[in-house]
Amino acid sequence: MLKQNTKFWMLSAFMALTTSAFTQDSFNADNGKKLFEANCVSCHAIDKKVIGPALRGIQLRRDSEWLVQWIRNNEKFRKVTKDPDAIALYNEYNGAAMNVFENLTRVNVLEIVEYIKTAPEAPKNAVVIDSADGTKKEDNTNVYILLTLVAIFSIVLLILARVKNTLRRIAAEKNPEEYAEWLAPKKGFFEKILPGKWGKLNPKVLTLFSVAIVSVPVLYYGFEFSITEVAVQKGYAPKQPIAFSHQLHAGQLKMNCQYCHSSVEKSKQASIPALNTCMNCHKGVQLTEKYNGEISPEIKKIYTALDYNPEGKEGEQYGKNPRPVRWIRIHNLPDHAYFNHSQHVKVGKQSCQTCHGAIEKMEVVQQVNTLQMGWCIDCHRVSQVDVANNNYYKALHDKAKADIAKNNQSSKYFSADGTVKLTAAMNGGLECSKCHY
Amino acid sequence: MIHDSILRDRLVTGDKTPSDVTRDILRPILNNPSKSWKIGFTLSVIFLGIFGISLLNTLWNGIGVWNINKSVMWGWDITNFVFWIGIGHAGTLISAVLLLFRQKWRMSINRSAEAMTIFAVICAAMFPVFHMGRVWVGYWALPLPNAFGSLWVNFNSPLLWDVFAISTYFSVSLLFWYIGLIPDIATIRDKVSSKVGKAMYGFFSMGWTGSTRTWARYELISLILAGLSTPLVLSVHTIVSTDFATSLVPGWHTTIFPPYFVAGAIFSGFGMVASLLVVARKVMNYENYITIGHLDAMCKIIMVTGSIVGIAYLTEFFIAWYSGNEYEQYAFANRAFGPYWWAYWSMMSCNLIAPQVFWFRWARTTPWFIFIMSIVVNVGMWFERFVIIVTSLHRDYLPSSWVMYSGSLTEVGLFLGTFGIFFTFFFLFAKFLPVINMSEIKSIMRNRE
Amino acid sequence: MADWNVPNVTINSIKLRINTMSNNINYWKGEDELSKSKSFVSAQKNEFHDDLPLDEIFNDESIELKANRRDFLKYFGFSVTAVALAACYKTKIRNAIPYLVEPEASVSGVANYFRSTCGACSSSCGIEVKVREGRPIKVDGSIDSPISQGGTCSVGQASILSLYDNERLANPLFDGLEQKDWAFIDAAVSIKLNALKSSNAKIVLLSGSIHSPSTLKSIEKFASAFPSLEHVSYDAISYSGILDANEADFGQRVIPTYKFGEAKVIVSFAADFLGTWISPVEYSKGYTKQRQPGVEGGMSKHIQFESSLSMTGANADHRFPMRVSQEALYVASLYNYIAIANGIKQIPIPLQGELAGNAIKKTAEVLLKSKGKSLVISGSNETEIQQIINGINMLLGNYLTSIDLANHSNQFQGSDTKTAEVLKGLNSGAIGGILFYGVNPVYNHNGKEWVAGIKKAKLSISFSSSQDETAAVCSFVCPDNHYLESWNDAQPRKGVYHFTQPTISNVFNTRQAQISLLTWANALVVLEKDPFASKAILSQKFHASPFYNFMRINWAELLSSDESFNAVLEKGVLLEEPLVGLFAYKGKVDGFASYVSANSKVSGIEMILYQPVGIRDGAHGNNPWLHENPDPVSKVCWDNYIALPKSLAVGLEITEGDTVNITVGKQMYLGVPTIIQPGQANNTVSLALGYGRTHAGKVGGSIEKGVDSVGVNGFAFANNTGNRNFIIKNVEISKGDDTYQLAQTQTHHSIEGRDILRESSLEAWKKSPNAGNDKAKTHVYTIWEKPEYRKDGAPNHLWAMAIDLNSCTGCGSCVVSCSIENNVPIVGREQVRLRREMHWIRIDRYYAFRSKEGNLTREEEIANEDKKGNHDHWQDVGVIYQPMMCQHCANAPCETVCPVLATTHSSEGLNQMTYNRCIGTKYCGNNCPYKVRRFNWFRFNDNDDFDFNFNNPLGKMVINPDVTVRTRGVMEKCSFCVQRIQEGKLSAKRQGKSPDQVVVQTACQRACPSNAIVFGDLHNPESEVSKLYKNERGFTVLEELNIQSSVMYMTKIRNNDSI
Repeated sequence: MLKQNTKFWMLSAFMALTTSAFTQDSFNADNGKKLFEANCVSCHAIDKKVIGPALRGIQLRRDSEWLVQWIRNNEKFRKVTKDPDAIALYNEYNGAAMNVFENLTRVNVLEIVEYIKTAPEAPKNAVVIDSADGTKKEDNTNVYILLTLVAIFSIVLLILARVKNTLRRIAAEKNPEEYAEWLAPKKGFFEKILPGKWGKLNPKVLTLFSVAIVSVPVLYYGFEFSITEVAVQKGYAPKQPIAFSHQLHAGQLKMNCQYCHSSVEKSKQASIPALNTCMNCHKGVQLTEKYNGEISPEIKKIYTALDYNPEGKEGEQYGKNPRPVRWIRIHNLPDHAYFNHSQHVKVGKQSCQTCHGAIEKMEVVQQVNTLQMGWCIDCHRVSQVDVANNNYYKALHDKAKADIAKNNQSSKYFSADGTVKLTAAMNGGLECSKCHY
Repeated sequence: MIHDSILRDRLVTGDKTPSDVTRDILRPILNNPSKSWKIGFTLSVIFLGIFGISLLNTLWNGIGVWNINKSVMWGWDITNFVFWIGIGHAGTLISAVLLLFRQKWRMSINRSAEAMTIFAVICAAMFPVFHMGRVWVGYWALPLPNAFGSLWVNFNSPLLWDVFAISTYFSVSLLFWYIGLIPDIATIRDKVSSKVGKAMYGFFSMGWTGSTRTWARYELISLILAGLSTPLVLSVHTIVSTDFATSLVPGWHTTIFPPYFVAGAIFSGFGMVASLLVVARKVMNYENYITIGHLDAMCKIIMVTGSIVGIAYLTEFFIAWYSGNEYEQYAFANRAFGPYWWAYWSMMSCNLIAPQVFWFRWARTTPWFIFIMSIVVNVGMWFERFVIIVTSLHRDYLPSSWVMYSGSLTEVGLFLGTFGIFFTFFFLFAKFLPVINMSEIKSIMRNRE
Repeated sequence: MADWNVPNVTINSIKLRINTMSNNINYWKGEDELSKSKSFVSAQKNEFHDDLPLDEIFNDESIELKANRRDFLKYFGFSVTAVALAACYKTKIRNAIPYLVEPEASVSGVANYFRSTCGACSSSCGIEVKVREGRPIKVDGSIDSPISQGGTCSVGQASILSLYDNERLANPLFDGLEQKDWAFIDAAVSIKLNALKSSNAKIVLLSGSIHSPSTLKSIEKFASAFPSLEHVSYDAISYSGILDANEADFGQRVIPTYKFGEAKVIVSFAADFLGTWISPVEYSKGYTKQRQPGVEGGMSKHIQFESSLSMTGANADHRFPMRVSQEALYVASLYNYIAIANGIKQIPIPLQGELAGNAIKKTAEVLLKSKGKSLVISGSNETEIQQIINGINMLLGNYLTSIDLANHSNQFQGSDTKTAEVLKGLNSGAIGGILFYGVNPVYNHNGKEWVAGIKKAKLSISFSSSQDETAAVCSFVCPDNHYLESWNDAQPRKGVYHFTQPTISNVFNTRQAQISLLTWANALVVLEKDPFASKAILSQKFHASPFYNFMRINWAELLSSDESFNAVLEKGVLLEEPLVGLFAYKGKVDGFASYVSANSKVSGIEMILYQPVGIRDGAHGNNPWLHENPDPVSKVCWDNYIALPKSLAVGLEITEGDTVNITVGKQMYLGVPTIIQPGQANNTVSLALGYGRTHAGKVGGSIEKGVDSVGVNGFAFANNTGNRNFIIKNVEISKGDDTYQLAQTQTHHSIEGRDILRESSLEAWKKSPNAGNDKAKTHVYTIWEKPEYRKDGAPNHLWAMAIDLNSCTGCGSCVVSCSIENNVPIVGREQVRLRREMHWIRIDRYYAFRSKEGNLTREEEIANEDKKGNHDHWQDVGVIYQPMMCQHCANAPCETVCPVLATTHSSEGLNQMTYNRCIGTKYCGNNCPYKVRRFNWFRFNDNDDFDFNFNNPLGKMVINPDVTVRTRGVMEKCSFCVQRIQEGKLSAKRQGKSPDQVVVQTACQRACPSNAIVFGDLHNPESEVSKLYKNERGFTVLEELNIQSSVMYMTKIRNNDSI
């Protein structure tokens, strides 16, 4: 019985960890995850100190009501309620105040806490942007992890094989007749096909070796295919020809995204700015003070691209050999998926960070989301349409309300009292030809 | 426990003893292949090559190498699919239904009929798979979890039912066939001398010891599987018929299809069994096991199912007229008197008229004649599917889209090629496995010492 | 084994146990577990039996690592996959290259629209060009242009592809060799020109009809530099007859403006004014205005006399077969009947009562009833016939109402006699230099003589943008720009000016012909202030095109400022106040008796050479879109053919697929494909012009590239003496040895008596507005509730279309427009033969054979009538067109059968096709009763077997970036231009407009020259489509299937009650 029970608990723990589908708590960790990703990830990580502290185990460290108050309005909590713990925390972080999140309800906060409670441990050393110093390590950690894992599993396999043989040997010693065949010496497969002493090597090692020889390239190409063709490029952060830092421009200098990505509200493309946009500032800003009187090498690249000579005479500064910058596309949607920035930014009022992550903290831009269809769909299911402030939706809403009033029934899109807000999915956001044509 | 009436004809003739049976049946397996086997096998492999070339052409260039067009989007491909699936029916019918009804005469033919089922289903499956424009994403037709926001399959689509029906049918038939083979494989394991052979047969006999316990379980599982596969006989072709019946193409949109298709399937299946067995008993000297009595019984089934199919043809016509639906009426008039009249009348004469000769005893007991008739039946059944698919599509609702269609070389090659697949498998089967179920045949022999 | 003994447990005892256990919850799955029987316990223990006695070894229960084999595999699989996915972030590098300096007014991803002028033919319609990221991708009519009035023809639509034709000349040629440097060409040409000038040798500029004021001015400048220059206009399809007739009758060598929109009775003698005659878009717009049954003053009546069944004839209310050789007799008789009624002297010939069953007399009666509101035209190129036509219109008082001479058309001005003189002069050596501008006489005139003549000339220059037949024999080829790369203006009608502005910089090293002329004349001008100088980008300085400067100076009087000029450019049109007045009529036709009797003798079999609607005169012979656009009447693409009347076919024992040998004098063609054409007058055959190009390119045929010509060259038969004549008498025709399968998109032509099209007569319509559409509504039984979004007043949109069969003329402009908009691939002749055209919209055409017994619409009836040996019913046919595209059924049969949900329904009523989900079972195509689904049989892009525009980088520039290019093996179909719907909705959302203000036009609707297609939102009660849905003429096709199509057709009303 006990054995059965342990199995059951093992299994449920596993399920809870991986899918969180079985959480019995009334707070929805799924929702918490979304909220966490939308609001917290720019400053917090679960297992790691970023700007704010690592959050794992927060439910043990702090009372949940304390957390609600702190998260919703830490300023009020410190200054009005004068909670000692809050003040201590504030001082611990040298007076760097946490943002105020009054838009989050109490339930929201508890959902986030629930998520933190149940969040799976991130695989150690996985690709994470180290935003503290702003540089992403160009490392081969993952390859090492893979190799280590392969090694560990090989060893485990060998040990298991060993154990099996030992057991069989014990059995054979007890009952030699039955195992006579096994005990008799025989020529192995490798002995037959390999010459000389090569054949005498441990056949299991040889088997593993040959399996590895065959499977490594197969696996490698298989995965490469699935990565490139299925387009799972999460974490893709190529080195760009000019080391443009969003962290500096959007983060520190707080430039509006639309200053450069000017067509984001007008067009399907956010557009990479033309180099003359850079020149608006960098004609003057050359960071010479930082480079011993020299122009910053990255800014020089802009000049080279435009064939611009900062020392040249007014009107003759531009040469005849401009070379456009070949940026490397990071977000590559397949051809058959239609995505329109203006729909999402101007109409849907989504922030850039919703899809692109904390871009203002990225020294090197990386793809933080999978861009797979499931990801789009998940967002469409929860994103609410701003009915009140757009006449297009307002008219729809009024029409629906009138219809509901007339027919005395609720509509699929809107509830009778008009309180339930419309999600993108309800308004056809899951239909194929919204994105595929 | 055989309670054999002396009034009945013997199911196995020639005063065979059980050891004769083993010797006779294992002869091709234990000896080197005969010349006729070699010739036949080579021919089959050549046809298999034709299949390979045609398939390569299709996959490399696209479905466009076939002649199907904007109106007739299914042609030889689905015709062949239904044809082969139909052939695959006799196997299950003989093995399962006749087992449940305790028809002892099935014993000597069920093995080859089951094998035929499996090979025919393999041939059939080629077409729905490779008629897809994008075979490489064909797995989307399976209900698999995915990263597309969980895009699901369409449970309304008869094509999806097909996927389930055929895969189930194939697995159950394979299992049934294999389970039946185990005692015989064990016999071979004990007889065969080569090391590889011993290992292989030993592996596949799954440690069969022949103890009473194993026999009891064997009988039980056979019965259970028979029970499972009996509804499949009805369901598979019923579902295949819904590929057509649930559409709104005039000529397809008929409720009579399920029973009519099932009858047709049995008809063509027995046709195929008959043609195979007439040849096999001659070539392999199995006249004593596959007796005239067997052929006689099969011919009766062919005649009955042929007549059922014939009634279905006439009923369709009646319904088309009675429905008052001008599109339906035109579709049927067009079948008989339109540009494809030859296909229709080939079908009628092969399927309805020709089997009526089996009213005569001579016809049912003359192997060479049965062979010819069984070929005729299969030709007729191929035409039946061609008539249903092509003549319905080529002239449907809007006359502006009426077209003509004839198969391209590649399509013909694929069809011929499936015979290559079928016979290659069949020849291998005849070489390496007992064509007649030894263990069962021994159970129905009268002089068992 | 299970214990089969049922434990003796009563209901009460179970209850009891449940009660007692409720405090210590323990669930059980069966009585065995409940009672803990021995067998159960042991079985439970062994449920997952392990072979190895591991349990015994690790018997210590405190060890919790009890993962069994399956769990191990799960963990193993998960971690390996996760790590591997995280590790492999290597990917194909894709670059994004932004502008160095972003151009003004251009937002990447957003289209700009520019007004311009279509240069596909000299009709010069005003157009609007859609430009994405600097490349024009679509041409549509400009609503401000009085010529196009927002419509386009298929040629205009397709002309954009010739911009991206990679067989255009990339550089000028000198003696067949490419010269990268224009300066070299200029120097060489100047030397030759000056030599000619000094020897005072005659130089001829042979051009098409030019009505561009600035171009004419530049020619003037050229002429003043080289005074021996003569400018001759030559039109391959000549209207000299009309021009000369008007010169004789009014002293004005012009084509009048025909106002079809003013005419209540239209009588046309073999003029295909809806398809090809002079200015078809303009005429279609006017014609269809009067074709509504409810139009003010009543629907117009259209009577057509012709030999071959033209598209116009197909639309007529009454169509009479006529041997065109007898046209003079027909026209003269009509004149006589009208003259009698007016009490005016007749042409002294006997009255021909029996002509076409007294049709002439009846026509005259109809015409006399609507005097001043009628229009009589003729397609003939005979001056005399046109003069009689003028006389008829004069007697009917049509001048100033439906015919406007003061504001005449400039579209065609060519003179056949002068062209013939040029040819003579070349061959006699009288002409020393010849320049060809926009003409190709080697192909479409007397080819051999022109080749000989050009070779004799000391200087021969062609401005052709491709190495065409004429250019191939000229010593200089100075390739002209495509019109989308050019500056220009046009005056298609007096007082109507259109402007052309470039929408892309030159693709190749080409130069506008005007600039070449000005350069050689040394007459290039420079503006005082170059308007482009301020637009320098980086070091790059911009200069206005020399011809822009020239135009500005030419327009300086009217449009002096940049603002006024730019305002006109923006609108594309400049209109002058129309003139009022009539020139004195001095025509006299009563002397034509001898002409009439001489020209009405019936002689043997006649051949009519006609312009087909798609290819026209063959100038766009290398445009695959036009080749694949099926002929409106025969539905043949990719070939021309001899159209035979049934009686002749029976006589020659010709059946489908046979060929004929055809001989006229010395000219002979063997094995010409045939078609037995209903409506073809007995003893006449027809052959389309514009085919048989030998220097068009890989699509239309090229000797150099070893590509066979498409079809045969009908111009070889033309009679070039006097006014060019395309009616050839005494043709010898015999059955050929070969057979030839034509590529037809429709091979069954009768409607089989089916209720898929409805028509009625005007009188019946007047009695009841649902005439012809009064079939009882089918009873529909359904177990399903109407989807919520389809209910009246539901929010959101419900897209639907209405098509007026009265308006649709069958021209096929929508087909080309749709193909351009939606990146529909071209498949070529062989695939069309296999019935695999990819068009998303097609125009079904059905014939009704008229016999004494009434209309024959069934194959069987027609065959029975044929057996009687009389083929008159083949001459007298009714034609009806039905545009057919995806009907976006509410209960779509295609949707239920797709196993992978690749085709689904949207809440806006669209039947969505998701290409990337499609696995290609093709079941949807089978189950579509309209057969509008198209399958990608091959990969049609980047495939050398389909070497059209999708197979080269330049050709791909025309691809609409908002629409996916489909891969092989997927289904596609009309999407109601969902990309335009989405764009329309999005733009309303961005601006906060209400859903009722969303404006969407589908590509077919936008192109239609007859406003037959209306698209819109049914949930907007004010939308045009909502109103049409309430029209009593509305019906849906195959309504009885209860698939609830979203395309409403309007019953065709013919004004054919009396005559």
